[in-house]
Amino acid sequence: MMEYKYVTNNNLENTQDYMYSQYLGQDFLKQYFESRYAYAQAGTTNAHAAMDELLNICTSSSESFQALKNLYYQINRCEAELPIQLIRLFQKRFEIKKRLYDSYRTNTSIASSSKKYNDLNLYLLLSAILLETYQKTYSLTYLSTFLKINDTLISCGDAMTVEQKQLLKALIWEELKLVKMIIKEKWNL
Amino acid sequence: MTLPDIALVAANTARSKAYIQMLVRYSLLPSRCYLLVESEKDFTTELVLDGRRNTDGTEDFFNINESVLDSISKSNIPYEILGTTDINSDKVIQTLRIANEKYFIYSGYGGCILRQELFHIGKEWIHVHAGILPDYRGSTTAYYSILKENMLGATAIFMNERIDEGSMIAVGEYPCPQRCVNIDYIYEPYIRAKLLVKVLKDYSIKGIFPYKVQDNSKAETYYIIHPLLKHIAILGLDNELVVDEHLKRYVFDE
Repeated sequence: MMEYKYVTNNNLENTQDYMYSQYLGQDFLKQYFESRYAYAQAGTTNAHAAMDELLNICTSSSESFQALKNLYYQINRCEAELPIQLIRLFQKRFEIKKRLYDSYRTNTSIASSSKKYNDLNLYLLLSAILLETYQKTYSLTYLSTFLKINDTLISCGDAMTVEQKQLLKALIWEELKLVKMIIKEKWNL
Repeated sequence: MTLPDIALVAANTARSKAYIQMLVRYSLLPSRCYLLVESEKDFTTELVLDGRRNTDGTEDFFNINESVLDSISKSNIPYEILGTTDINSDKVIQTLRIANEKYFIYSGYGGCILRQELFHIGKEWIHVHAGILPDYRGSTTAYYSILKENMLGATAIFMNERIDEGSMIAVGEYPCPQRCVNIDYIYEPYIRAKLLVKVLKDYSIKGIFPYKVQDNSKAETYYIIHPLLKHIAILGLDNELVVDEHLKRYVFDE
């Protein structure tokens, strides 16, 4: 069987456009599950705990990091209304370039001059934010971007710290749960 | 019937093929076609499909193997080769500015954003978006709509500078195709063409395009769908789907 092709050895360098993706039938789903299970095995399943652990030791001070961290805390406060415009802005930023930059021109998707895009904490934070947003809205636009970010993160696995890997594994377990739920629902299984 | 105020801006794409063939089929001919190609030779490029069929046996879609130029020529529609694939080129803008037609049906290449100047040449741009607006803005909305509502939609709009936010002329809802039909290259262009026919038929009777402004509070923007969700959507169209045992084990593994 062919390998799941949307995880390269570094999606930040070999960006995926996902346009007119080839239809491969059920084999494609098997490739996906095989690839995801291979990555997530023996990992934690508690994404919140893994995120807390990561944020406790994280020293990043970039504008995007601070904004995403605040956003993450905000959407995890049960009583808070979802800051959907800001979530959409970060979603758009990722979707346009398949990268997240350290800083952007205010309220735009245009990266500011530094153009650094290798801080994996940004991608982990946005992944967790999109997961929460999908679980609260059931809007598939967030699930689709969540899947793409996770492709990117897995492709950068070699450059991750232990804490980052733990968090990603937990996010992948959450992703698998959602995907299986959708398959069961849409295929009447 | 030839519609004197209407022109078609077409490219070498499945959507343009669907548009021109359906307009010919329903005898709603544009007065002229402006073709976004370098030369006539560009129309010989074949589109590659992935093996799924061009019909579901119940509905006659369009012939993906017939070139836009062949369809135009067979119906004696006047045309102009624009000499470029770039809708935003100065040459194209100049040509379209002095065109006799007032309305341009836009069917250029996917992913291209029209430059602002094109909205200030005294013409109206009609675009058929493959999704119900404002609920489904953005890309590959057909698949999202199949997953969410088990149907597809299309909306004809007057384009403006903001993507998919123009005033709506008409909305159409369509049933899901059978799994064997290619959605990207056959069914989605076909439903857009179907709505275009309806819009032009109404126009040919009333002489106007009625429109209404979109309610932005209901809007959701979608980006190119992840291939996994696309596969779930396509496979879910098969009412008699037999799920592979290996795959089933993954799905039911807790």
